[in-house]
Parts: sequence; structure tokens; C-alpha cells
Amino acid sequence: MTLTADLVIATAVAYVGLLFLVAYLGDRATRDRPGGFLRSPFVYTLSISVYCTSWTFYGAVGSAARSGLEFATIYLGPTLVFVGWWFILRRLVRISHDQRITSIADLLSSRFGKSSRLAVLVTVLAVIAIAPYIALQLKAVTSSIEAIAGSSIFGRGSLEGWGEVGMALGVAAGMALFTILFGTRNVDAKEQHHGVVAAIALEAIVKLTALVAVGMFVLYSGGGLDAIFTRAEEAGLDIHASETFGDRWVATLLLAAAAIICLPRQFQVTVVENSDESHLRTASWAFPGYMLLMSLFIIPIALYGLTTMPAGSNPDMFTLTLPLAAGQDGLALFAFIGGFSSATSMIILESIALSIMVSNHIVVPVMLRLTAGDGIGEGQSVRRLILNARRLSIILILFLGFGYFYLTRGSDALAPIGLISFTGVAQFLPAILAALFWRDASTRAAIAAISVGFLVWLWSSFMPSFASSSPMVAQIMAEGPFGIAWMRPQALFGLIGLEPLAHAVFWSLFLNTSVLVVGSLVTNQSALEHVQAALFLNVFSKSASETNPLRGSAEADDLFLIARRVLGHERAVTIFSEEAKQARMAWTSLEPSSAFIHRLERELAGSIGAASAHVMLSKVVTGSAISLEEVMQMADETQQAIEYSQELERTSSQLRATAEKLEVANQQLRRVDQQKDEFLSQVSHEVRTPMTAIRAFSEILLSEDDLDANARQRFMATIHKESLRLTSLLDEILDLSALERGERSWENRPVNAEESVDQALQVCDALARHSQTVVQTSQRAGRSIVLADSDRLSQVLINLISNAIKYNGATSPEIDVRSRVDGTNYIVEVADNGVGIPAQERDRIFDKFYRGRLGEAFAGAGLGLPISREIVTRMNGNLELVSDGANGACFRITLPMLVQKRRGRTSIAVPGV
Amino acid sequence: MTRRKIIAAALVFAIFGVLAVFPPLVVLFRYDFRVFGVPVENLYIFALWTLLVIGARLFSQILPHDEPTRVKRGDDAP
Repeated sequence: MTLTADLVIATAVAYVGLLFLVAYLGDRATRDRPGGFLRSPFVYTLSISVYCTSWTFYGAVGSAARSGLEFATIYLGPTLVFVGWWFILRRLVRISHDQRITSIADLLSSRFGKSSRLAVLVTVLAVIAIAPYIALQLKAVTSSIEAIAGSSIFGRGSLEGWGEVGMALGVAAGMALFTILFGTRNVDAKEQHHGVVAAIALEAIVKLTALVAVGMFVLYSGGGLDAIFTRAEEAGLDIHASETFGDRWVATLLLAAAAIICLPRQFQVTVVENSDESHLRTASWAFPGYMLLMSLFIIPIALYGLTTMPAGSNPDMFTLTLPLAAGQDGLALFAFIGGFSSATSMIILESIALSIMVSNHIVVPVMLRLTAGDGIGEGQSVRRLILNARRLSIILILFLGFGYFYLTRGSDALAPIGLISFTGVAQFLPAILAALFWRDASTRAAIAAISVGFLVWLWSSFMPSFASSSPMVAQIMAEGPFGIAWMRPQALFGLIGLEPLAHAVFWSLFLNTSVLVVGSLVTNQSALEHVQAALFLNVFSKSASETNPLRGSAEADDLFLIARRVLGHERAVTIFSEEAKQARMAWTSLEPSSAFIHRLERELAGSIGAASAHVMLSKVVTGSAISLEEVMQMADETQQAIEYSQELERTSSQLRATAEKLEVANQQLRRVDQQKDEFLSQVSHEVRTPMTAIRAFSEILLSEDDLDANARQRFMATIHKESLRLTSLLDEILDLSALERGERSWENRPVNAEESVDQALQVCDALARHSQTVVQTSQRAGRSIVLADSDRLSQVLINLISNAIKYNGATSPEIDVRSRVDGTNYIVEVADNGVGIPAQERDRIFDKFYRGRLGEAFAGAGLGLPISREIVTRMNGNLELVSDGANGACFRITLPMLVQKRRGRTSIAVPGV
Repeated sequence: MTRRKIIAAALVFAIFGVLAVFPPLVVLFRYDFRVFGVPVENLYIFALWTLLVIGARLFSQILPHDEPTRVKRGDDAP
């Protein structure tokens, strides 16, 4: 077999064709039979081994040739991460499943309040950081083709005239085309690429087999391990790791451990492409085992190459050049395919992962912003736009890789280029760990931390790699910018003595972490950050997935429109049909629950990233997220509740006042009720006395036939007298009751009050004479017009005068009836010289049936004074007892006088009005 | 062993792995001596690596199986 450059290229193209076929079949097999072989944990593990790129295949041997065991750190770091899978990777996978995370930028953005700025930052930085890594692959593939072409006796064949740069450009273009064909045929809602994973798994087997084959060949040719090491020692090589376990050892271990988490393609295969969390269980030992196998023969190959190959041979290409030198063309071709496999798988996955980030976090948000209305361009398919954005970003990423290759083509080693990328992506590690474990990490701090880490990386790791091609960079490295020595990229702040890689790793990660920690301590989280942080930290508690940050309501039509544009018609119909079935509702009358909106958001996030999905849905979901407005509304509701409770308190105090009033009223009622009872009892008593007399005398008259006429006459007179008394009593009761209830018709007319006084004096004249009482009138007011009922006024005066006569008790009784005008009042007084009314009785003399101690001996029901007072009150006047007990009693009637108005109208002069 | 103890053991194992590959432990094996013709530090690193793989396999079997029974994203669409 004769190996030529043309044959190698043809084989490579054929191999790519095979990969494409595998990818196609893989996609179809997964579609027909989900959960088949392609979903097995071993395929998952093999796809993770995309970590082993041409850096491993070629560069590890070169690294081992230059610094011995150090190459192993690149695989020991990931081994440790996978051995501790339970604590970090499992958490990452679970969170990403729950939140439908599609990339490392999406993860950070999602945790830090769905921040689009953070997502854009991470995306841009990842694209820049990966450029050297892509360049490494281009360089490896180009060098391997060069190595075969250079050793071929047929010269360069059709490569004649192609320089290294031209070939690298050709490889880059071919890879771009290949990746676009592979990775951007459709937008999967979950960003899973089963076909691609199948192809990557095949490539993993090919590269492992090829490397092991070369290793076996070397062992066989070199006569076993002992012989190889002995010969190397004899050749003066340092086979013992004399200076290996220093700061560089620590730095590369740390970087490799960070890279297996932070590299976009590793995140893609380990987290996003993971279809079953239990696969991680298998990968936890199988992937370290794979790397162990890959590494087993690296040192023997390196030492054998160093001892057998001519001086000045590129140790990076030993894997290929050793079989070539031995004339093993078949093995050399296999080795080439192995190296080609490792490069293509890395480039395909890395550019797919980066293109997803670019389209989801830069292109879609820009598009959303440009179409401010409903968030979706009319008539423009979001899917097509996303696919085109991805194709463009793949070309951009490979072009950046080529650019880096072009600028640094002077350096020859592969591994240092890879480590530059590792240091770059390691800047995401502090933020990722904070996302997984620290609740208080804030968005602003994360953005600042990643930015600071990246600036240090750019300055002390990325820029120095251009030193060989740029004299200006070389000068800055030697003297610092503008001669500022402490800013020299590899001796920042005067830190010298550290190996350059360790130096860059230390400063970038130290400053990055410090800014993150201090920044988070001094800044506050937004409501959404708070919610997301809780979701990330509580990912293993049951209720975590129930929480829904996007709340509110939306029209099913709007949601469907968005879902169709992003997920495609078929998928959207499936989701909505499921929901309709669950809700037992017609498709059209579906009212999206907040759980459904949440699910839809996650579905969308699977296609366009958490931040974009959130923005997109927020435009149609009313009520949006936990916005400031919502918080304000919550505050309002609280305020309303407070106001309501205050109102309740007021009402209850009103009720208390009412209850008190009711209590008072109740007491009054009780008193009145008691009065009524007393009144009834009095009335019964008053009625009973004459009735008893009448009954007794009438019984005597009926039973005693021999009564003389005289006695009979006396009894009859008594019965008559008692009947009259009874009638008069009942009249008085009826009169008082009617007066009190206002039933009696009453008409006040202007009358001369003095006439009523005269009439009363005349009526009482006989009674006065009979009881030998002197009635005098010491003072008269003269004509006085008041509004009154003259008969009723006379009745009152008669009552007062007759009382004064009856209850006088003096030896020479005298009564004085006098009247006068006092201001606008007419006053008439009836005074006697009797025993008067004792102080303790004065309050009660106007009560019904009260007769006082003297009254007991006299006839009368004790209703005269109450009736009189009631009558005077009806005439707007006042009846009162004015004398003290010593000089007899004096009752005074005060009535308002009628004032003649000038216009002839009349009115009552009411005192005080 | 209880669930908590198994998880603690897994953590200790991982931390042991970390300590074993970092200085100063790794420097213990740095002396000019060869076992079966292989420098002792090479042998140490690869033996440790093998041990880590075997230990990881053991823990992958005994660590609690509490994965969600069905991961949605994997089987509801092609």
C-alpha cells in the first residue's frame, strides 16, 4: 500500500461520508425507536469522550515528549469531576432538565435572573476563548496531512502549490460545510442531536482504537515498556518527573477539571444531550476508564519517538510519523483517520454548541427587540431565521479559529494553544459553582466577575500567544504597556517566579472569584433572580419544579402562534392537544393555566434559550413575571387589606357605641316597663277601693230586707259617690294617657290668660268658703295674650287652687293667686300658707298616683298634677314647684306671651329662641 | 450503609482522589526508581487512575437511585 496525500484526502472525505451516513441512520433510528441503542449509557459515554481531541491524539504525545507526565493532568482533572459526579454533574443535569437549559450561557443566564446581558457576555467570551482551540484542530489536521505528504515518495500530489495556510483554510472551509450539513438541518426543541451523537460515538471508538493500535505497535517495535524506558534513560532523557509536580501541574489539573464543566461542547454532550440521568452513573466510571486507555500509551509513544526519530522531528506528530517511518502505511492511515476523527468531532460539536449560544442569546434577542410589537416578525419563520443564524455563526467560529491559526502559525506545539482556551472558559467556573451552590450570588456580581476574569485572561494568556508574530506584543511582554512594569502580562502586579500558565490561571481565577464574592455581598438580587436561585438550589426537593416564575394569563391563540413559530406546527399542536386533553376542554376554548404557560416557556427555552423564551412569552402573558408592577400590586393588596381591617375596626367601634346606646335604651325600656307595671298596679288598686265599697253596700242592700229607709238612703248615696269617684278616676286616666300619647286633638288659640284665672277663682270660690280659706289675689298682670286652650288652662288652675285648699292644713288657711309678666313670659303663681311639701317628696309630686303623706287621707287618685303638667307642656309652658317647704307650697305656671308683629302676623316668643 | 453514609463515602472518595493527585501527596512518589521497568511516579499515577475508575464503578452502583423515572425531554419527541 502506497500512502499519498491524495489517498489520505480521499480517505478523509470518504470517512466524512460514512459519518454522515451514521448520523442520518442515527436520527432515523431514534425517531423510529426511541430508547434504542443510541440512547444507551455507553453511547452517551462515548459522546462525552469528544473531550479527547487531536490535542489528545497528537498533542498529548508532544506534551509527554516535552514535559513528561504533565499531559496526564488534562485527563486526571475530568476524571476527578466524574468520580465526584454526584455532587456537581448530577446537579447540573437535573437543573438543566428541569429548566430546559440549552447551553452554558443559558444556564448562567437562567440562574442569574434570566439576564440577557449575562447570556450575551458568556456567548461572546466563549466564542473568543474557543478560537485557539479550533485553531489547534486545524493545525493538527493540516500538520498530519503535511506529515504524510512530506514523507511520500510521490510528493504532494494534488496538494502541490498549497501552503500550510492554504491547506488550513481548506480544512476550515470543509469543516464548516460538514458541520452545517450535520448540525443545522433542523431546530430541535430540546437541542438534542441524536444523529450527531451517534457519529461522535463512532469517532470515539475509531480514535481510541487507532491510538491503542499505534501504542501496541510501539510496544512491539520497542521491545516492551522496560526496554523503551531503559533506552530513553540511556539517551539522556528525563524519564522521571523531576520537575513535573510544580505549580504548572496544579494549574493544568485545575484547568482540566474546570474545562470538562465549562467547555461549551462538553456541556452540550454531558448535560444537554443527556436523555436519562442514570446514564451519568455509567459515564462516571466509563469516561475516566476511556481516558485512562487513551493515556496508557502516550508516554511510551513519546519516548520511543524521541529515541528513534531523527532530531528535530515534531513530537506532536509521532503518532502518525512512527508508523510511517516503519513503513506501516496501513497503520499510518488508520492513525491519520483517528486524528482526523478527534479533530472533526471536536469541531462539529463545539461549533454546534457555540452556534446555539449565538443564535439563542444574540440573534433571537436582537430580532425580538427589532420586532417590538408582538415579538414575532410577520410571515417570517423564526425557525428558518434561527437555522440561518446558526449556519452563519458556524462559519464565523471556524473563521475565527482560522484567524487565530494564521496569526500564531509561528508556534509549533499543540498543547499550549489548548491550555489558552481552557484558561478562557475556566472563567465561567466560579459563576457556575455559585449558581449551583450559593443562593446569594447576584447577576451584577457574576457579570463583573466574568468580565474581570476574562480581561485578565485576554491580557496574560491570550495576548502573549501572539508574541511570536507581533513585535509590539513581544515588547509589551518584555517591558509592560508604556513601560509600566507591574502590568507585564506574565508578571502582573510584580508577581514573578510563577510559570506563565499558572500565573494567568492564578490571577484570572483569583480576581474573578473575589469580584463574584464581594460583588454578591454588596449588591441585591432582583425578585426573578431570587426565584431562580431558589429553583437551582432546591432542584432536588419535590416541590421545586412546581414553582412558576412566569405567572399571569394569556390567550391560547397568542401562545399557539408563538409555539408554532418557534417549535414548528407539529410540535405546537402536540403540546396544545395534550393540554386540551388534560383539561378536558375543547381545543379552541382552552384557557392556559399558569402551569401550562410554565411548561410552554420551558419548551421554548429548549429552542431559543431561557432569556429569549421569557421575553417572548412575557409579551403575550399579561401579568408578566414577578415584575416591579406585580410587587407593587401585592403591596397595594396588602395596603387594601390594612385599610379594610381599619374599616372593620371603625365599624366595630360604631357597633360598640350602638350597643351602648341600645343598653341605655334597654334600661329606659325596663324603667318604663316597671313604671307601667306600677301604674297598672296603682290603677287596679285605685279602682278596687271604690269597687269594694260599691259591692259591699250593694250586697247589704240586696240581703238585708229590714233596713230602714235612712240607712238605705245613706248606702245608696255612698254607692253613688264611689261610682262618681270611679268614673272620675277612669276619666283622668284616659285623659292622661291620651295627653301623653298625643292622641287628644289640641288647638292652641290666642287667649287672655287672666280670664282663665278669673274663671278658676270663681269655680273654687264655693270650695274655699266651705273650708274657710281666704283666697286673695295680691298681684294681677292685666290682659295677657298667650297661645293656649282656655278651658284646659282653667282646669290646671282649678286643680292647683283646689289642691291648695284641700291640703292646706293651716289653722287660718290662706291662698294667694298672683300673676305677672316677666319679659316675654306670663307667670301665674298659686301659693298657700300650709305645711308645704317636704323636700323628699318634691321630686315625686308630679308622678302619677303620688299623693304624698297628706294626700293619703283625702280622696283623689293622684293624677291631678301629672295631668296639669302635661297640659301646660302642651301649651309650650312650664309647671313647677318653686317654694321651699317652710312657707307652704307655691306652684308656678310660666307661659310664653304672644308677641304682635308689625305686619300683623303672630308668633310665639319662645325663650331662648 | 445508610443513604447518607454512602453519599458521604462517595464525597470522601472524590476528595481522596483530589488530594492524591495534588502535591504534596503526589510528590511522595517522586524518586528515581523503576518497578517492572516503569518509573514509579508513572506507575503511581496510572495505578491511582485505575483505582479511581474501579471506585467510581462501585459507587455508581451503590449510590442512591433517585433519578426521575422518566426524563421528559428524552422521549416525547424525535
